[in-house]
Amino acid sequence: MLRRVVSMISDFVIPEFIFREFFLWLLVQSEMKAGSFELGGEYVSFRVEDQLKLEGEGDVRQTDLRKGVPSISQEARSSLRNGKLPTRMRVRLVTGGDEYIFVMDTKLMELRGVKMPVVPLSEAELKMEQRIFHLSQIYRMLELLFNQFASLRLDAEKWGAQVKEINQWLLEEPS
Amino acid sequence: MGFLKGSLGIKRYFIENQDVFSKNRDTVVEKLLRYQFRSIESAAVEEAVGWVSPFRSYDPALKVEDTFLDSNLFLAMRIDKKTVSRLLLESKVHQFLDSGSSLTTGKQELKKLKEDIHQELLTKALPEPRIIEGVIDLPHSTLYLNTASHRSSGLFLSLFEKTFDILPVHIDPTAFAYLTLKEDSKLQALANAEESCFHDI
Repeated sequence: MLRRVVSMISDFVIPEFIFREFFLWLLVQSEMKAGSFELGGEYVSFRVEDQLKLEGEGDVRQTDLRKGVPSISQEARSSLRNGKLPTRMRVRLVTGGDEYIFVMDTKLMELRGVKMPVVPLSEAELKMEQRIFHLSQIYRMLELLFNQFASLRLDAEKWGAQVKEINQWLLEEPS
Repeated sequence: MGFLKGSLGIKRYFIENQDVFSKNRDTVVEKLLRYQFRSIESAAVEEAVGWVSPFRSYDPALKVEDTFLDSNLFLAMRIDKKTVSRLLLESKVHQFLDSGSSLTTGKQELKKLKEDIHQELLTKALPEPRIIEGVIDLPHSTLYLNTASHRSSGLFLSLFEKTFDILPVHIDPTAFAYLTLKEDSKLQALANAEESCFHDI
């Protein structure tokens, strides 16, 4: 499996706009569904908070929104309507009673400023085990979300409906 | 802030072939000890990297019990860097020339003098240490690196490769997509997809 991944990486490159569209889909879905996503039979909360960066193609146009809930701001919708897409966002993810906060970006899909539930253990071995479990939980959730996005994105009819929905959301006035 | 507490900045990598880690644990530590951190205090060296104990950053004497935490391999690379300020260097050079102790006139001589003074100042400069931590989740063949810096991650990977003869593979967005979708056809379709239009409204 791993060898296949390595050889595959040199064969395909997923363009960055796919991840920008993924972020936009996440942003809009989380706003429309009050942050609630059903993933693998469980409900998780996914909200964009405090940080949202939007970028346009070609030139260096970008908008950095910070503090509060930038996704519902007038500036965010205005930037999106002007052709910019999200490239970085700060997320609050809650799953199974555990809360995670992190910043993710479309260019590298790396996580920064990752805050995880406090592990009330003093033994390093157990603490590390828990921290790695929490990290893998974040990636598992992101993979499930991307999987959901990809099945829509690869179905012309379903994706067409999603684009329509997103465009309608963009036209609405923020509440 | 380290892996065991505080916030993290994570880069993910595959470890393609981890045979080396599944063998004798002492052998792994022996490999790490070959590239253990060596202090550059009082040495005319600008930078040094090497492995230290993840629990005692001053201690290059690594132990199996510090390195293997159940099914995870905990690594800490120390980077010590010394810098000599340009202003201090220039000032020392001028001081030396003004003192009349040398009749340096040519370009090459001046360059050599600067280098000598730079080396002398380096021996007196205190190093600035940093620790870059990495954890290998052995059951999932995944290396988590706790740094947002590309330079630091590059140094870590280079030391890792020298130590174990393995170069971890970065999980970039394409690899992330593959891990998620697990099908070449879906990946190919995403790679060939056309951009959607959200703003023409």
